[in-house]
Amino acid sequence: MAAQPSPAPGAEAAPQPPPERVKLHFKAVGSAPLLRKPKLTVNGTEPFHAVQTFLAKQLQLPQTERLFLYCDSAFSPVPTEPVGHLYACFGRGGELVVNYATTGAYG
Amino acid sequence: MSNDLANDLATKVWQSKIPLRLSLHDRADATPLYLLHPRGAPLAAIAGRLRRHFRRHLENQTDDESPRPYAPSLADSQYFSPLGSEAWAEADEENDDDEPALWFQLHDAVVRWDIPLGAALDALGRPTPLPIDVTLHIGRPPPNIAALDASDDGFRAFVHSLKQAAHLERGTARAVLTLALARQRALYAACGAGDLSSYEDLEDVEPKRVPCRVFVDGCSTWTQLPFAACNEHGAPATVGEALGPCVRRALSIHDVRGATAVCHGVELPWDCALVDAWRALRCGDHFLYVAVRRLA
Repeated sequence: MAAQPSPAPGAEAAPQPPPERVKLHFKAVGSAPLLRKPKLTVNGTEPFHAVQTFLAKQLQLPQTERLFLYCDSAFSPVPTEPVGHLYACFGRGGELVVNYATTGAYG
Repeated sequence: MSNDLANDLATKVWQSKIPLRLSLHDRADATPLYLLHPRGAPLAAIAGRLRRHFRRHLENQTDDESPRPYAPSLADSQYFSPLGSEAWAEADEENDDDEPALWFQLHDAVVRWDIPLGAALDALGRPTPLPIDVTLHIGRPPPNIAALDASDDGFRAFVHSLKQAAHLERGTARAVLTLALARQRALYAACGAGDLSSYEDLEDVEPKRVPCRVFVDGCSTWTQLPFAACNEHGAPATVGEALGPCVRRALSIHDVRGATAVCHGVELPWDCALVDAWRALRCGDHFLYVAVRRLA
């Protein structure tokens, strides 16, 4: 604790309230089918598992196929976490990147 | 806060254990399991031990009572799902997929098995006689609650949580993504055992944002927001400065001093530097868990 932490660029101690609307940017990974409209704006209070349900319907995957969702090419968030909170934590460039795959990715 | 003090606090937190009595719901003939559970470990860490202890009763469950492992809306989440990563397929094969899923209850509240038990108790916010009575359920969990699947020991949830923490601290989750699976497993094992000496931590950095999850009394879930390590003047942000707006909004109060923040069972001063509290009191997944409630 000797060294003083430096402020994150543009960061304030108190986070801004999560946005009411969040722009999601879906990116296919591997052999996952592409979406015609890869961007979608959703209510910030929606839980992340609602995004999963929506995307599964959009892609019309066969029942035998599974869908894997990740944020920012890294992790799967708590499914009950509101999308607005995820955007506040991991959003970039005005959108939250959601990667989807039909096989496991990112460990 | 000095490094020595932070290390002492971390050691005490990791050594802290909670006496538990785990009993099976509606099965008076099942002998309860008594154990000391590390405060920073999730209940999922003892899944294997629970299954061994109650094996006879788990096997007696009829098909009608066998639950789907996850509530329908959570069924496809990689955070919980045993099929979340091919990397763990080998470990999954070692488990018996025919075993039913479990979920936990303390008094009238569901206890999440993926967060540290100490944090769950802080969120509950009630004085509870020891040993703490946790009821183990075999059956369909309430909506939006994930049950603990037979092939899940909480490891996936831990790693995904650690990645999120690393992302907040460093701006990228690379530090965890590049960890070997064995090293990730070792981190979780140390966390589950409450053994700080065998917890080979990630390389220390000055965090850009402080991984912190806040439970505000009356809310249904933990809130995860990007709390900056410094205030707008470049000085270390206090707990009150960082958590204040979120707490004031949730509790509809004007001053955070009208509320109390609890971490690991003790009150966290509002004027304590958030980054110091995080270094000393964070759990194995690198998150600081703080439960906040309005003062009576």
